[in-house]
Amino acid sequence: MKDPVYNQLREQSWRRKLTDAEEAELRAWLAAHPELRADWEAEAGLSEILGRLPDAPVPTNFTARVLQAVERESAAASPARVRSWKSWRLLLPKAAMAAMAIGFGLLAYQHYQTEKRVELARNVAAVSDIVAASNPDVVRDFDPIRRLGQTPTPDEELLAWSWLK
Amino acid sequence: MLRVKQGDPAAFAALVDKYKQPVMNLVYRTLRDATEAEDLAQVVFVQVYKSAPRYKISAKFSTWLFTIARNLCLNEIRRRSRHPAESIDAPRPEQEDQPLRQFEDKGTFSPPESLLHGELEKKIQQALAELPENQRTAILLCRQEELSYEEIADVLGCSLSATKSLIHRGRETLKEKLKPYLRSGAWRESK
Repeated sequence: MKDPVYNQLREQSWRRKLTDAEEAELRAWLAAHPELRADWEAEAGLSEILGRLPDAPVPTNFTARVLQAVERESAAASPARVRSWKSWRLLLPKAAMAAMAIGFGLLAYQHYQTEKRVELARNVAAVSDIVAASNPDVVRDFDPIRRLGQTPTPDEELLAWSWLK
Repeated sequence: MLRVKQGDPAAFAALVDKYKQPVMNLVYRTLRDATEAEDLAQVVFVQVYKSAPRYKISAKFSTWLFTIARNLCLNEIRRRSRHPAESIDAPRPEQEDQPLRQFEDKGTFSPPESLLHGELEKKIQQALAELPENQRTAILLCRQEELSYEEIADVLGCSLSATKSLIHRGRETLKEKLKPYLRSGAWRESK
């Protein structure tokens, strides 16, 4: 607020009673600053009032009740932990079997994929061999040869007569 | 706390005995319901026990404890805001000037340390209850002489200067609301 000395003394008075030395320092300070005496009176009064506020009611068996609650918590937590461990132990073989089945499945799938790829590669290689072996001259007369197949069939009777002659 | 970490129930009981009152004070003044405060304070200590293996020796126990207490209180406040119908002790407009609950009604409450009585005490309780949660928590933790400002800042999750500012603003509000009593010196008479 006003002065570091006053502020420090005031903050100390919020937490605890001032020591004799601090009281003396305060008195000297207030003698030099009488305008703040009323402010200090209010501060001191409030600290006094707060210091004398009655304590909240605490049942006499509070500690015993807390200890009981702790025991209940511990008792509830222990079987749960044991139960959870037991259930894990029961589940473990099943989990291992499931993991093995999944593993085998993955291996089989991977094998199938590999086989498929090898077969595909083999087919591609065969086709590429044929393409590599073929000469462009072979297919040069392809169209006339193909058209030969489309000519009308010979008249067999006429052929027979010509042969008899 | 090291013994608690090793599972020593006697050490844990000693911790609960030592800190039950400050934790109850904080929780009660945050929730403003004695029954809920009792239940929540119990949960705080159960949480401490359960989290003991994770406790780092570098952290001061009381800072750690009050952080747990405050977080659980904030969770409860959030829960209440989501389910407002469950908060049967919430102040009603026509009862705003009434305290939410009287300690005197509780059989467990013994008043020898209660030096403030009547109207002034009610006004203080009410003024505290009306402060924003972070200001109220800062002021209440300030009463725990064990905690330094740095540790209060750790509990609140803010800087040292912000913590002091929260306390200052909260106290200014309280002074304003309690001005007639502070001026009249009623607090001196109730000594």
